[in-house]
Amino acid sequence: MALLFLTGMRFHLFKNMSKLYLTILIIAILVGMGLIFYFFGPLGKPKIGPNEAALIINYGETKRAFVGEVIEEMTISDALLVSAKAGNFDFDAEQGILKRIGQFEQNEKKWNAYLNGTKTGDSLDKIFIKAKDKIELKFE
Amino acid sequence: MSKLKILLIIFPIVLISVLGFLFSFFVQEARAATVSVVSSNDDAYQDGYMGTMYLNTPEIRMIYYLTPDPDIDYEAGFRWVISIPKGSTINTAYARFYVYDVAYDNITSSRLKFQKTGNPPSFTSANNNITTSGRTKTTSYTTWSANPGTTGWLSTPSLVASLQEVVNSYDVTALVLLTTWSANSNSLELRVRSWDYSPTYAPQLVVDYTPPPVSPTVTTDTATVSLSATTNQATLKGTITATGGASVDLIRFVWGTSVGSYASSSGDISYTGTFQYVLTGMTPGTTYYYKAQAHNSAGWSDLASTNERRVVIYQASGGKKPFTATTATTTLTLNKNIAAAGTVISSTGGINCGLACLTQTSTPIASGTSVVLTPTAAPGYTFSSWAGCNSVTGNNCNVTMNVNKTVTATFSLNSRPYVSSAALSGSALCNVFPGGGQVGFGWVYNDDEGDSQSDYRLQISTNTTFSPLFVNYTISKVVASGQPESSAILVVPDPSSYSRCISGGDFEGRCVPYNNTYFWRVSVKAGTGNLNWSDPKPDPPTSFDAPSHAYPWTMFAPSPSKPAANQEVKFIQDGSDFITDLSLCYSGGEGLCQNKISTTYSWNFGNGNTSPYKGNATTTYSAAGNYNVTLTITDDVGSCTKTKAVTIGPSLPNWYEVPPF
Repeated sequence: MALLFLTGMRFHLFKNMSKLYLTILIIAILVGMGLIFYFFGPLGKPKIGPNEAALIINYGETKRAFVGEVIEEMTISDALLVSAKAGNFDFDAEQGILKRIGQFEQNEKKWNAYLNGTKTGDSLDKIFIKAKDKIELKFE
Repeated sequence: MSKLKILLIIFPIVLISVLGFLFSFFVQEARAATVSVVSSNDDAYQDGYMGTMYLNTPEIRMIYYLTPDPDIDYEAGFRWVISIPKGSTINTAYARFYVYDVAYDNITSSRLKFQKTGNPPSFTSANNNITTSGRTKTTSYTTWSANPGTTGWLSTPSLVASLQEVVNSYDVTALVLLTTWSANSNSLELRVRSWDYSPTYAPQLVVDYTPPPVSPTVTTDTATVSLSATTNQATLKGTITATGGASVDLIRFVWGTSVGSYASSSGDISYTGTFQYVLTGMTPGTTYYYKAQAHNSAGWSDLASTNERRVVIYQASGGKKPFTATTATTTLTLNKNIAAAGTVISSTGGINCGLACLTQTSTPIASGTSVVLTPTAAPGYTFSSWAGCNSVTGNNCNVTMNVNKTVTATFSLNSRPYVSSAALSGSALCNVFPGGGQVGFGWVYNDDEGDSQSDYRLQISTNTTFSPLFVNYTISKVVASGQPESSAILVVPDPSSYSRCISGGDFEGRCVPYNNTYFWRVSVKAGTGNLNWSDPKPDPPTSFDAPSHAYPWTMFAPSPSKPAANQEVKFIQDGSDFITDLSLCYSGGEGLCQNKISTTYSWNFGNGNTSPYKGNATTTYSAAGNYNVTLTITDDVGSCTKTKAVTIGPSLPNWYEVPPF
């Protein structure tokens, strides 16, 4: 009975709604979907929380990005470790120097680390990170 | 036989004897010496073309010329240590060489010259050290032509002219003889034995020389005054105790009226055998102080070292009454039993007998004066006693000078130091360094007189006779008496190939190989006084065992270096991030412990988990905190354990993947 009542109500509304109102409703729906895509979809920039940092793996052709909380004395190596767990990939490092991520093993190209756009020169397990840092590992 | 005939026979004999005695008295005695080369650097030869020096060969090539190559020629040099005073007369001089190869035996026109200096240096390996311009030769030389014909000693012709040229200008303490090669000569070869071949066959120098004369020495004798004298005069007298090697031609007396003042002189008097002078015009009651002097070709006798006498005459009423002249002054002679043992000074008389002085005579001391002699022992010595004193106060000698006196100060050398409490101070065979262990020794240095240690000597052998020695380590180190001292050695597989054990290493000469029982002992030596080594201790020597091979090398570190809770931690070799644990074991040769079948691992991670895994062990800690991780590796010689503290941080947060940006 209730379903029949609601169906009857909607039919009644649409029947009595003017063309102007219908146009406004469609535009509002489109704007809302656009906002959703902007913030959370492929068109938007992911939001980094106040206690979070980001790690981007740049394979050259493709990228992967990870975000998470930063704790005290957390290093780039730690960030890579928790990213690997989240992204289900493995890696090798010797004395804090990154040698391989997944199938991308350094040979002619090397894995270089950048912290907030600046290339790091030290072992990854000796560089501490803080909230809002952006780590990028480039295969180049 | 008549008395006249007997007299005619005896008189010439007596006359000749007397003249011979007098001749020997006036002429300086000749001195002969034969000296050999005594070191490797005192005989040498050089390649005349390249200038290369040869110091350590068993032969000396004095002449070596191979026709037709004119470039191969040699020059040789020989150095002898010998003392000849400047101005001596060289009576005889030649060198002797032991020829051992007579295949080429012609020596023609070789020139022999001494280096023109009194103390030429030994030869060095620097090229041309024989012909360098620094070795200026004498103008005089000896030409040598000989045909030895057989092996054995071969003497040079006389070297008197060249040596005399040196001695005329220098006091000689060493001599260098140089052979000069003449490229145009027809000489072939002369090879002789060197000191390096045998000291018995080392080149020799034979010299006979007469030292130059020195001034005579005299004593002043008591003057005489005739009892019947009617004039104010006395006869001053002297005695020649040594002519100095030349005839005395003049004498004289000097005098004054106060001690040490000789304003008046008799003037030079020709010496004819009588050493006296009549002093006239003396003032009665005035004391005259006088000394005698004599002269030869070397000059006047030393006035300062000649004793002083005095004479006084008195004039009694009614005439001149002479009094016997008396000794005005006395001298005090100090003797020491060991020159370097200490010093002695006198309160008067000028005795200041230092460490180079064995005996000293005072300046004249007025009769009746009291003299105090004070000894001071040098480091390493102790003053013992006096002899000849009137009395001794403490260490001081008191002497009353009424006659000439002699006193002797006796010092004694301090006793040798000794070692006490010598014992092994423990061994560390685990985790000292890969393949090696360390054994320590401790002892106490003691010296009853307080002399400090200058050296200690550690010896290690496989037997109690200490032959052969594996370690014979002497090191200079100053340690006060009563202070403990220690040393250590390394035990390694092969001391000859381990860098810390060979030249330049921090344990150079202090390493022994594994698989032995060793005995050890230590001796010490003081830097002053008695310089002999102490008796070695412990006595009898004690031993320590070095195992059949090195113990396991147990080292590890966590990876990552700062692990987090709930994160897998891998324990790997310390110092790097290699994936394999590199603990070394030495059973059956050096190798990774994890690859040795007989080797066992025992991990205790400190979190309640253990593992026997031989290699990289892994574990996970559920909570943050400090944990002690222990690894024990056991092989057939023993076990080595290493414990390390590991700090586990908080759990890492969970991250999530986002669209790339």
